[in-house]
Amino acid sequence: MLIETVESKSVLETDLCVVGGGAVGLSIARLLADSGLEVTLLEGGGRTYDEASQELYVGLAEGTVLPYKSAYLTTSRLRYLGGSTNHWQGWCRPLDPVDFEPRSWVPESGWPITAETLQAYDDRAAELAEIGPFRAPQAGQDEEGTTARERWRRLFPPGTGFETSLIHISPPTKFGERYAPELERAEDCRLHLNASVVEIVTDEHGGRVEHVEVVGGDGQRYKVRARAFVLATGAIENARLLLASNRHEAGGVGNRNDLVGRYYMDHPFLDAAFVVLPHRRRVMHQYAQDIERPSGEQVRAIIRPDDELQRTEKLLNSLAVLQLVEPRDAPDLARDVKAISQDLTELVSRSKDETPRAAYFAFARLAGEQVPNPDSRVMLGDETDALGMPRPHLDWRLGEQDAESVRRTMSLLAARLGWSFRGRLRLLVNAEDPWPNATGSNHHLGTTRMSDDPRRGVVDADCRVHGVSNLWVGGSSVFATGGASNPTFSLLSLTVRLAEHLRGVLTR
Amino acid sequence: MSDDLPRVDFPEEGSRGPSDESRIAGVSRRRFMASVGTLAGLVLLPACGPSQESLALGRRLIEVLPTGDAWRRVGEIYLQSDPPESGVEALIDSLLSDLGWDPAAGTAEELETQVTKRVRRDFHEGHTVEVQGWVLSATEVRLAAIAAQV
Repeated sequence: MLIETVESKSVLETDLCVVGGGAVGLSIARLLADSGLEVTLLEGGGRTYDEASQELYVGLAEGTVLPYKSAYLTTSRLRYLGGSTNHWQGWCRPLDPVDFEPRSWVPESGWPITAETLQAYDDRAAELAEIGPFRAPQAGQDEEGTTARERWRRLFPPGTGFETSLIHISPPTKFGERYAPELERAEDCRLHLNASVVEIVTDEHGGRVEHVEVVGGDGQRYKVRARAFVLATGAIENARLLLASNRHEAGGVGNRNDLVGRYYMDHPFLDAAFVVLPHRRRVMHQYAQDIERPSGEQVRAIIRPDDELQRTEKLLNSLAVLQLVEPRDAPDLARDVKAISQDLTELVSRSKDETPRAAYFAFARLAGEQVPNPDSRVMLGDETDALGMPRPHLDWRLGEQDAESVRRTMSLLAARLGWSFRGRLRLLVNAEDPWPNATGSNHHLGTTRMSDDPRRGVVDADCRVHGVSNLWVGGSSVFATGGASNPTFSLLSLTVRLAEHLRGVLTR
Repeated sequence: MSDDLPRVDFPEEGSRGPSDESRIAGVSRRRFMASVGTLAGLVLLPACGPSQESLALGRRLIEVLPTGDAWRRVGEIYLQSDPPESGVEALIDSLLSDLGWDPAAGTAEELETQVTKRVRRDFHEGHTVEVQGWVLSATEVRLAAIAAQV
C-alpha cells in the first residue's frame, strides 16, 4: 500500500526495509510480496521527475574520461520511482563466465560466486525485464537460443577468437510504472514516496543496523526500524549513504577496511575502430540495429573477444556494436582500403567460385571492462545538499591496462578480419590518445564490492555487509568486476537471488 | 603488432616455410632478370631509380589487382611516411621473397593465389603495417607502394 503521510518523529516497525525504489528495490518488494513478510520500501523521489529531487544528486565528478564532468552525476541517473530504469536503453545481457573468475592479469578479480550461481536466477530476471524465457533453448537452438540460420549470419565462425553474442532488448521496462501499482495493492508492502534516507544508524559497535533516519516530503523526520535492511540506491548513493552514516564509526557503516566507495567502475565507451566489412546487408544490420527474431524477440548482435581469447591474450572483457556510416561520410582512405579488401576478396572468391559481396563502413563502438582500481572512488564532498547530507565526490579513473586492452583487442580484431578476408580495420586508439571520443556508459559499478574476505570487499557472497549482521546491499555496486555487459540484467539476477536469501533468513 | 593466433587453424597454408620461400624467390628473381635481359637485349640502366626491368616486373605484379588506383593512393600515403623499405627494387625483392612466386615460370593465377595466401599469413603472423591507422598486411602495403611507383 502507498503510505501517504508519516507524522514527524514517528518510529515505524517493519520486517524488511528496502532503501531505494529502483529496479532492485521494487523487484525485491515484488518478489517477497507472497512471503508473509512486511516490506517497507523507501523511495527518495516521487512518482515523476522533479527538479528539487534530482538536485540532490548534484556533486563533484572528475576522472579520466568525463567530457560532461559533474553533469555525469545527474544525467546518468534519475531520482524518482523506478530510478534509472526510467531512462535505460533496455539492453540485457548477463555477465560472462570469465567475468567471475580470478584472472592473474586482472588485479582484484574474482567473485565469490560463479556464473552458474547466477544463471539459476536468469529466467526470473528475464521475467522482470520482460524479455521472455532466457535460458530455455528450443529444438535447433544453441545454449543462447541461436538457430542455425542465425549462426550462418555471424561475422565470425566459432573458434576464431571473436564471437557474436546477443543482447536481449527489454521494452524497456520502467520498473516504477510496471511494478509499483501492484505493490500499492499488496497488503504487506508499505511504499513511501519522497522518503529520503539520510542516515543508517547502527548500534554503537556498528554490528547491527537499528534504524534508518528518513526525511519525508514535507521535511518531517522519522525512523524506520526493521529486522533487516537492504540498501538499493545505486553504486554512488549506496557508498555515499554508508560513508555519511558515521555516527559511531568515523569511516561510516561497513567501512572498517576503508573499502566503501572504492573500486568505482563504469564501462568506457568509445569508437575504437573504423571497419570496412564486405558482407551481406542482413549480416551487417544485426550488429547495427535491433532486429526481430522469428520468435518475435528483439535482439542486437554484438562482437566480443570470447572468453578463451581473453584468457590467452590477457585481455579485459569488451563488446562492440557497429554504427554504419554512409560511404560519403567515410574517412580518408576508407574507400581505397575497401577497394583493396574487395580486390583480395574477389581473388579468393574467384577460386571458390563465389560472387564478391558488397562492403559496408562502420564505427566499432566498444564498451570495455576496466580493472578494479581502489583509487577510482566515491567520496564525500565538502558541500552538503538540502537535506544536510554531504554531496558525492566521484573520481572515476581509468588506467593504462584499460587502454592497452582496448588497443590490443582492436589489433586482434584487425588481424582476424584480415586473415579471414572479412574486412579491414582502422585503429582509432593509440598510446598517445588512448581515449578519443570516450565517455562513460552510465553503468555505475563497484563501491561495495563482493568478496568473501572483508579486507577485499564490503559485502559477502550473499550481499550482506561484512561485520553488519542485518544489512544487505543490492545492485551493481556489489560487482567485484564489471565485465562489459550492460549491468541491469545481472543485477536483476543478483536481486532475485538476494530476495530468496532474505526470504530464507527472515522466515526461518 | 605481434598477433599470433594459437587457436586458429590457418587455412590453405602449404607446408613450405618462410626460409624455403626466400631461397626460391631470390633465385627466381635473378633468373627472371636474366631472362628479361636475354629477351630485350642489352639494356642501359639509368644512373639512379628503378631499372626498366624492375618497373616492368612491378607492373606485372600489380596487374593482378583489379583496382589499381586505390592501391596507388594507399601506396602514396605509405611512402609519404618515409618508410624504411620504399624503393621499387627493394619492395619487389621483399615481395617475391615472401610470395615464393617465380616470375620467370609463374602464371598470373599462381601469383593471385600466392598473394592471397601471403596476405592471410601476414595477418596471422602479425606482419602488418599501419597506414593512417589502417591495419594492412605487409604484402598489401608492398604491392600498394609498388603500384604508386610504376
